[in-house]
Amino acid sequence: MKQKNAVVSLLFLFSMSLLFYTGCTDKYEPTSPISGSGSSCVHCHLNAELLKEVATPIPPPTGEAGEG
Amino acid sequence: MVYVTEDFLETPHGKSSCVSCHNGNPAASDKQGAHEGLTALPGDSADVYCGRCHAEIVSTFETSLHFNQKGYFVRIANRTGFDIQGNPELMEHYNEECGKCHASCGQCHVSRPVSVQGGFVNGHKFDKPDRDDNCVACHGSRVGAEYLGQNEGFQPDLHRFKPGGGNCSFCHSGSEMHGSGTIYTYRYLKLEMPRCEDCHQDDEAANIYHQRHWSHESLPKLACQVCHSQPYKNCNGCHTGGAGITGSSYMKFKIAKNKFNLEAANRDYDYVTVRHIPIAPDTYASWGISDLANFSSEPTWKYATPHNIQKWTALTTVAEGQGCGENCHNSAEYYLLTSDLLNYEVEANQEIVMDDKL
Repeated sequence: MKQKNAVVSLLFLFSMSLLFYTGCTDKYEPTSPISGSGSSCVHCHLNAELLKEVATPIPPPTGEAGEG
Repeated sequence: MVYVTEDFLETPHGKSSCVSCHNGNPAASDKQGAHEGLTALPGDSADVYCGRCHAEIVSTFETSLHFNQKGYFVRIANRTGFDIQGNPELMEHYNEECGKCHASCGQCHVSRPVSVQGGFVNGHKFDKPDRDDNCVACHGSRVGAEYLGQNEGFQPDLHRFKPGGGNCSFCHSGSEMHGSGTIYTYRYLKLEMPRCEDCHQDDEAANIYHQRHWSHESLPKLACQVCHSQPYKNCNGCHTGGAGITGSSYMKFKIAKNKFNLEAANRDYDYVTVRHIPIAPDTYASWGISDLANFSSEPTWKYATPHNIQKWTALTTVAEGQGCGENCHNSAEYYLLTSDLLNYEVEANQEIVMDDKL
């Protein structure tokens, strides 16, 4: 009986770990603490190479700009 | 570019979650989904975002000319005869051509202004405005170039080399930029705007020139720039159209009568330096306003405070044996005269020209 309980517990722990792992979409591990929902934004915006890949190029400004 | 540096995350703003200011969908796994509902420029809604922590500054920010652009709207209304803010079609033109120079909290403290395509100044870190990336980004073609000595043949402003003078905040304070709660219709009416006399009051009687031209009981009072400015940039059609103003900007120095109604701001000088502005009767033709009904309601040479101050200028330096006013008095070169004007400008400037002083 005790053996059966141990196997069930292990199975439960394994399935919970699997669920937790697959449920987490953000693998980024910042060196500084980031609060909850911001983490996926930071995942991209701290990555200069990735931003260069996905950024939409902006044409350079033309002429003299501004209030002089 | 929206690259955030990691050290931003250690700053007070960086410790807030991104979505608290930018919204969007952080659970999405692609760029398009993540940016759904994004608030790219929270500073444009300062009362919603910045005001949570900076309520006092935001409470008066709507009176900042950098934000409300009241000066532009009043000048346009004076010349057209109506307020364009009630006309969506005209506002579309305005926002496309003039409104880009509007500044929000973020465009001074986080990124470069939108008018120069934005981009973080320092990895999203919030800071006091950077001279080159913020102030000069908008005020570069005239003020910045003058102050930094970038106009060929002319010296930088001597204040640049004073301790702290490398930054615009040496003279221009945050309270001037943020708005005081008073609604101004013209930038030179702002009481928070610096005047030379704020620092140089002790110089009032420092020499015979100051005694005669600064505070003499019966002689005209001159703005400091009249003696201490070098030639400065005057504008034609750099960023607007109109017959007669299609040429590029040019360096010039002109003195005119001060009829700009600035007494309330203690700018009660009799003579001031003036700068040509890019306006013609058909400037707004592309907006559907073929002719400005009240074109002559305001001068086309406006009160100017060139940012290229020198102690000794062409006006304060005379050859040995010459009188002290040799280079200024009776000078057709330095005075704004009717002969300097285009035909359609004569009426608009008739009160400020110096023809009767020669």
